[in-house]
Amino acid sequence: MEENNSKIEDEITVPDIDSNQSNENNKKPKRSGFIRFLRFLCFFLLSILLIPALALFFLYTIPGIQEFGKGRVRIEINDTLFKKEPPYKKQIASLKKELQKVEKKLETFTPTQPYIVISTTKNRFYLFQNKKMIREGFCSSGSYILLLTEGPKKWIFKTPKGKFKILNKHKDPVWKKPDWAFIEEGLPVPSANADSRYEYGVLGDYALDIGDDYMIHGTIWKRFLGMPATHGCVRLNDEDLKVVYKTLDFGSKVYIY
Amino acid sequence: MSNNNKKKTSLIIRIPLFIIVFTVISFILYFTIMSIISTSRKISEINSNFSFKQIEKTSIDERFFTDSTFVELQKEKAFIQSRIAMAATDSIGLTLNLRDSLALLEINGVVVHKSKISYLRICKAFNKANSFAVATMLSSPLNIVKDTATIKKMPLTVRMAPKDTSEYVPYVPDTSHSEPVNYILELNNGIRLFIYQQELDKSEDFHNQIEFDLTDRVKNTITALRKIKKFEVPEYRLYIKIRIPKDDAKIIYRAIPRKGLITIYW
Repeated sequence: MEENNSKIEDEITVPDIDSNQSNENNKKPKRSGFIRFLRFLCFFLLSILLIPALALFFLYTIPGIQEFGKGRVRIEINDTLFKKEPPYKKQIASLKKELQKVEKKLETFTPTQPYIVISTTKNRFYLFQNKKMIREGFCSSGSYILLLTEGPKKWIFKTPKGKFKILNKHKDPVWKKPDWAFIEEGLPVPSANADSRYEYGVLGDYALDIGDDYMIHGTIWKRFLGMPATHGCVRLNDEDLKVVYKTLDFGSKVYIY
Repeated sequence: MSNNNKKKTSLIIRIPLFIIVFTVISFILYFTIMSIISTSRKISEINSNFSFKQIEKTSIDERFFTDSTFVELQKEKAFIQSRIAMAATDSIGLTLNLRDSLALLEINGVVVHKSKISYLRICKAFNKANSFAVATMLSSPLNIVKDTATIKKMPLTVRMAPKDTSEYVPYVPDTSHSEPVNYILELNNGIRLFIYQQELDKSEDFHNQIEFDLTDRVKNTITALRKIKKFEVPEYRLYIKIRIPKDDAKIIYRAIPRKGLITIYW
């Protein structure tokens, strides 16, 4: 009976094994397909990530690595014995003297006379006397307008930059309007000495000539002080203009930047 | 049979893949090595071009050139002499005093504008090269040869002249527009001076700075790649990067002429 039973069991178990095998065989292609997909996905993602990683490497890492370029390390030996030698002391003393000399030479460039500094970007002025700033305030400089006409004529309304001198000083200046003043308003241009060219009071109480028809003067457009609004001249308010006029003399330096 | 086929196909895929990976890695290594060589080459170029032996024909003791006191005094003297040379021209010049973190605008030797440098980064090649050689290299005013900026040098507004008074519109200045200020000044001895605005509170300013910096890096990498393609060592360019207030950066850029002069004290 026992033998019979075991045979029966054997008979029963055999078909079970077969069915397992056939199940595994059925699952295998499914799994490998999934793994392949996973592999492909990983590869795809890696290749996508590789491009920015390479870009970052070339753009940021390489310049950083470049800093490690080999160079002769700075050799500064402070030889104490050498420092005690008379030629050393002599050389250092002469170098210090030379240094003082060049420092003095550089100082001579700053005028001892009063001078004015004008910033066309900030539209501010700084007045100096005895190398110290005595007044600062708003001003108006060139508007950077490029005025075009239908013909070949054109004008750029900008304040020149650099070093200038006060060439002339005027009290109660009168403005002789140039051609562009008429053209920009759409008015016909009058003859050279026509009465309509002369305007009184628009330049304020004083004007300081810095050459090439550029001036430091007053304005009726006070709300534009601190802004780029002029045709190239520098406008100041009445009080500032009075101080500037009284402080600066013929030949005083004007620095415009 | 099917196993053999699989092996064959996997080999077909793996071999080119291996070749690609190998090529990429080799190229990266080659590029890195060439880049490091370029720095070393630049340093030795500075040392050989500006070392005292070639410029000083005096019978001065060689030990002076390794003495820090002497080198420092020499540097200071060279800086002031350079400023004097710059003052001799009537042009507006920029003085960078990296010791005191100051950027100065000068006209004819007169300081007209001062700005505090809030951030400073100098390429390490400056420190690796011979100190005296670097001082000699910076002992005369340097010329600007090229500039790249996010703002215009001259902010022109174009207006057509009206045909008659009815067309005339009075000009009202508009100062509300604020643009990010970042620029690179390339100097005649190869130094590149990066001037960035300090304020990065607005996202526009922040993004603009990143974009500006990235564009420059891309340009440099392309140039280096072109050189490397020809099996040449790419050029290493010395740089100084500073951050100053936006207004000051704008003032400096608009004030200095296109081919203006710069003096550096390092």
